[in-house]
Amino acid sequence: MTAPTAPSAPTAPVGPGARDAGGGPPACGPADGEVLDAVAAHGLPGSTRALPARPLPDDRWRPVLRRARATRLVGLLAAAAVDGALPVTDAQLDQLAATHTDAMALAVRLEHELGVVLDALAAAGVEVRLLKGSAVARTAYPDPSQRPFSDLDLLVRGEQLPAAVACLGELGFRREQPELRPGFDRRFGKSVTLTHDARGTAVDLHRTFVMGPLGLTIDTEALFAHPDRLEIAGREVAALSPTDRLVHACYNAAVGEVPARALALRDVAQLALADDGADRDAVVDRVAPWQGQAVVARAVTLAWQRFALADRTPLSQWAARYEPGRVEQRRLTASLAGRRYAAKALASLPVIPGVRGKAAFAAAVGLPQRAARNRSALAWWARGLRGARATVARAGEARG
Amino acid sequence: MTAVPARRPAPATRWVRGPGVPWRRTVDGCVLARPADGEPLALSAAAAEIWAALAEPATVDEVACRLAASCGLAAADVRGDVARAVADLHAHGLVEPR
Repeated sequence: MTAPTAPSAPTAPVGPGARDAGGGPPACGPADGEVLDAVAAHGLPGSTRALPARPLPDDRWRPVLRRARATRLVGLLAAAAVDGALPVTDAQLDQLAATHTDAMALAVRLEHELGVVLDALAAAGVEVRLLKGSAVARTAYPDPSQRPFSDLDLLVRGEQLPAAVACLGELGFRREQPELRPGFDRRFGKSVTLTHDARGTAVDLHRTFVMGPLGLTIDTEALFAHPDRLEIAGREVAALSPTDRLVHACYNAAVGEVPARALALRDVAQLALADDGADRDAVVDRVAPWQGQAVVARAVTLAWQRFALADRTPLSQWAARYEPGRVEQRRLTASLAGRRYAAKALASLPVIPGVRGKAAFAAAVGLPQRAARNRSALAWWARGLRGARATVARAGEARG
Repeated sequence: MTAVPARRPAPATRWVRGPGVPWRRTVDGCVLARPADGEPLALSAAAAEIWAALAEPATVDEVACRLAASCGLAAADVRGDVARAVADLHAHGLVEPR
């Protein structure tokens, strides 16, 4: 027997480096992409994705492990190895164990931090709902160790966003990007990211789910009704209802990144196949007033395709048949990650109520305050130039 | 944080996990956040078994019996290690006497 060992320090430091590096996850070959898709599907009932029957050679294993870490699939990779579904060598298991421990060290550190943040926000009178990482890991997955996360995501009412930002500032967090113009965040923004340099943690304060017109049409106040109460770090934490958790996962997967991240799609499949959140009518009824059916249909369809899910559910059947209207399709297309900022801004204008609201939005996007301009003046002007060129080009096409 | 030097727990004391300690299973044990500062601590597989056993209040002897049974050893052979591990967990604020 191995003697019980007293607690020891983590094998690697936990810090900002644990967050995904900019520029996207490290690349790996198409065959390794297939392996990672099978890893991402591990444990999903009805998936026909197959894991390799023998350990990968080390020159393939290393990029797979690196990419699994960067895309937060390391929890599912560990589960596949421990379950015996993915054969690995002893050396590979050691590397995987160290990588997975690092990811879990960050998760528990963030959950500790969550308690500190929630106490401070509650004292400031800010009501929040926990989103994504910890909430999904604890409610949807058979073991939360399968679902790493790299920051804390909290939904805040728009009118309370400035107070929440100020409150986290007092805890030592600082915002990554200045506000475009005073009042922009609480009226039109998607989220504010704050980081704590000393602790290496980050908090995303969300006003809505996504940027662009799709985010602006969501009734965010409705998301505060019927919270799910979770216990995390010794305290009760209010999270979205199971239905809203699935809806949010769909927005995140369908619009958040193109192509959609495997883990985001796994969240969709995991929640859609759960007993408590996948009622088709509840999901469709929820998003219909926001014209979000195309979002849900896209996310569910992508998840079913990516993981080769053989089982059909009422929701997946509805998603496969759903045909969005022209306006809905246009809003979805404009909201996709990677679309030009100008395109998102233009598509947002029609859904912003009132002439004054539209003017305030246009002024903030077109003429941000000095702090935001100075932050990345070249990027702003380049963005404006690209937007102007695109507009001119479209006008030319229309005339032609 | 500097942990309090670990002292051997009294035999009759029942121990249980501290309330709300965030933790996760890992491939070869588990990892926990220290309540005082959130610093993550990794536990070996055997120490993780002790952590699992302390989901409910238990004495060092009870934990030693459970651990010994799972690996086919006599409780007396593992009792000292269990006592040391419980003392360390207590020093980090991860378990408390009930």
